[in-house]
Amino acid sequence: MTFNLIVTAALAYGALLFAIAFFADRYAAKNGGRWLRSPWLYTLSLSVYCTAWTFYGAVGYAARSGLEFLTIYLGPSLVMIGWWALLRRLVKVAHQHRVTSIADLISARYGKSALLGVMVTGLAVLATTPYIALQLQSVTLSLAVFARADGAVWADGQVASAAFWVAAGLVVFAVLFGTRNVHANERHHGVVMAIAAEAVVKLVALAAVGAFVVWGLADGIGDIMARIDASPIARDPQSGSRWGGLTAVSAMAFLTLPRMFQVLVVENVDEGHLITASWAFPAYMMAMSLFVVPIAVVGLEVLPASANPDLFVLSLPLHAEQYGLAMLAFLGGFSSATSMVVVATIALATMVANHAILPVWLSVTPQGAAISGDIRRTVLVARRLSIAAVLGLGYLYYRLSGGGVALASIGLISFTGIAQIGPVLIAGLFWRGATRTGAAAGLAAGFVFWVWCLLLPSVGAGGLLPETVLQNGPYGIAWLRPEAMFGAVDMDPVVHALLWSWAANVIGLIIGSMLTRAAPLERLVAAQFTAPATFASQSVHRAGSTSADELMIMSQRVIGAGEAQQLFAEEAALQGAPDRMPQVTPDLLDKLERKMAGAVGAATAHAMVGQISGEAGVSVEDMLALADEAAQILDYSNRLEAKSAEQEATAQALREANAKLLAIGRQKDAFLSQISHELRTPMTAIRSMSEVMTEGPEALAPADQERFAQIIYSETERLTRLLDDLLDLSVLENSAMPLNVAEIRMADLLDQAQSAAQTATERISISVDLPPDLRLLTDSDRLLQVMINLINNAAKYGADHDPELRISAGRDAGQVWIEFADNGPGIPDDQKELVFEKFARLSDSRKAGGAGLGLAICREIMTRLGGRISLRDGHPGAVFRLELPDPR
Amino acid sequence: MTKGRDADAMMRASDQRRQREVVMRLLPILGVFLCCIPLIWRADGAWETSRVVAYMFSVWAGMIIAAAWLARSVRRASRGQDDL
Repeated sequence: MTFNLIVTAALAYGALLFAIAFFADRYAAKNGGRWLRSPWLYTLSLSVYCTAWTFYGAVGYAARSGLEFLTIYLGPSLVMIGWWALLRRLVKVAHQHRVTSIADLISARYGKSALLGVMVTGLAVLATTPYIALQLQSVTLSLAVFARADGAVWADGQVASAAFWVAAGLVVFAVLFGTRNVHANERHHGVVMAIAAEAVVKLVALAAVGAFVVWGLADGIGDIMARIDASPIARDPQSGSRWGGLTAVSAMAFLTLPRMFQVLVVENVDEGHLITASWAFPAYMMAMSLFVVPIAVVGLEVLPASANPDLFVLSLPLHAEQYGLAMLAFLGGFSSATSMVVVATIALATMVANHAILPVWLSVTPQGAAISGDIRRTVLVARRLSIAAVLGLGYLYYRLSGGGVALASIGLISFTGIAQIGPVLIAGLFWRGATRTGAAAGLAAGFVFWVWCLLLPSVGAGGLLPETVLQNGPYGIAWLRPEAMFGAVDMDPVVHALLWSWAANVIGLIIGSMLTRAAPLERLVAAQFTAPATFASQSVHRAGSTSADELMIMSQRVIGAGEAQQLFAEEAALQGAPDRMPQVTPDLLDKLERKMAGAVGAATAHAMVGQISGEAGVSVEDMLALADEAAQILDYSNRLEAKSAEQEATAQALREANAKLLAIGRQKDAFLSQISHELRTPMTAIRSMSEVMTEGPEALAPADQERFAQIIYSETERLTRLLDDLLDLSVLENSAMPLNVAEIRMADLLDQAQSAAQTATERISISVDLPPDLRLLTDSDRLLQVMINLINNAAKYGADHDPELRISAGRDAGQVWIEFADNGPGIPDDQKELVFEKFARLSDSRKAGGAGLGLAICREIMTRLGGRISLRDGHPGAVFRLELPDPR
Repeated sequence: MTKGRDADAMMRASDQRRQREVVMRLLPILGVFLCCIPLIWRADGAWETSRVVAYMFSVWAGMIIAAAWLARSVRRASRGQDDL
């Protein structure tokens, strides 16, 4: 069992995890990651809560303080079981606002406040620092145990350098894992998959050691129970306040720890997964805790008193010379530490980059958001630097604390710190009146007490605080002593710090919120957060001026070219002009901001959009402040918009009607000249013929006489027809036509029509396709007139060669329809409106025998019969469709 | 006739849903209460660590089973709604 073998195993294990993450990412990209959306995977990923503190520290905790370690796992279990009220709303709201981190959520809730984002980020970094130090310490210690088993006892310098290399290795690991790209929604399928794998490894490893201890070193469960009662931990009574306080703080930290928020909320793809996790995750934690007490009891019994209880999980198998088991235990501990470090640094790096680095970068860069170039590159670099910085801080804390502190007490310092976000978070979700000032005041107060009462004393007297301050208070003021504030002497330091920091936090939050009024924007978000079901996210109208191109350039840099173009194209299509850049509407700005928030956080996205659209937030607030109620303004402006759209529509209709009138007027003039011409031509013929005939019948040959009479007859007929048409139309228009309704078979009617239009049917080939028993209840004479007209039209205007007419009929939705389709040139689109008008005739009047009244008459008849006539689009020839009510 | 039965079933379903929501909200509170019981034993002098271990894990397991039962009924109810 060599030390080198362990290091090799750790590296190989790291490589394996990376491969899992890599292939999971590839799989997610290719198949949409259906399989990666399992509630079980989600539950396993939550196990990032169980870090090296759990794996090594819980046993040490139990060996030192008995059953108290259970509180750390009971708190989150209670939160998960009670998911209904809190978690569901948290996840829903976070999804609605595309939140990327806990800092982002708090910042978004309190009016996209950049200040709160920075405060939460700072608090999270500081609170996570001891936690990271804990992981470094545990991995380093476990390596030292193996080195000792190898025969080498490390000096302090060696331990420190080992810790340094562990930290450096973890930086590389976290950078490789977490910052390969910037996702628009900040979900890391690969990381989640790797975390889930590690969750299985750590559970299996701890259970294996536990089973070995219970059934290998002891004689089964009965024996273990007896040993528990005989062990020193049985005589260790716990304080009730610690029991309650630690349960509460761990429940709160479960929600507010950056890494827990990352897996619980940000990486959540489906609210429904919470249902499964509500019992499966407590079950996982129970399984993790099951063997803690037996391992602690047996460790205390078997191992020498000098052995570090935090390492029993490792030293018990080594002591029993079970090297394979020891290796498994090492990998379990390694898994616990790496999964925590990876997720925590990803979460923290996102927060630091989005809330600290980017805003500064944006304000330092002269053109701010308007310069070109991909901002995502900057985001990535910022995140990598943040990861290194966070781990560097962890290493620093480790060196400062000397590496000798019990793991659990380090963890509790972190928990108490991060739990300061809790009141602000919960008030944000349930109390609409909580304001930005209140949140900032609460956070600041809680933070100050946490640092003073717990963090500074934690590195030991003389570390960050001089001995005298710890003993007598600053400047000798006894009631400000860090571990006995306001005379609370003899209290447990953690409970003491928790009590004062939470009290100050909540009081600050309430008083701050009472004394200030929320800005209108903030009030709107508050409503969305506290009643997510009733307030669907609605946009605040913005008064800004920018071009769509500028916005496009900026958004491309943040969310990527493809996605930005798609967003703009969708918006343009929505605005009804799919080929152009969309108008810059408040709606577009809102959508863009939400989308960008997924990549750079709500506050930064808000600032960027605000900067480029020139609104700077002022116009919104001023406008809303004037009217005092955001809803009023929204409503009013919506109504105005609707009204102006209505007026626009009316004006458009008027313009169209006017154009039509003008066209008809022109047609009328043209017709009058035409009709006089039409009337004059036969009249001239009749007059001249009759003149010749009256001059003397002897002057003409009998054949000529007969021919002239024939001409006079036919010309008179033509005149009569013309006059008949005009009369017909005027009668129809005045609704004076009596209807003679009777039932008739369609087939009979069509036969009649074909024989009546004899001249036409000789010229054109007609095919008829209709259901045999189609009957109509109508005025058959009138309908016949329409049909004859249509058949004549087809013959007149149809194809020059081989003209064809297809007549078909059928029933459709309470209507009987008949279609006349010819194979001619059809009717140009711009004339389709006009063909049914009186006096209209298509430009080519050569073939027309009538005066252009036929279709107008048809339309009048069809209207009188309760049906309609129309021209169908999308066919090569002209297709007239008649529709009549179905008698059935 | 059938209408009456449907109305009955709907009433029953909505009663069940209301009941389930009450249980959901009360379960964590009940959990907190049960987890604090060992503190009473401590004052009593009846503290016996092996018994407390057994008790705590029983409470824990009981809550997990209750939560799993709730989860199942929630999922079944939401599936029923989808069917409508």
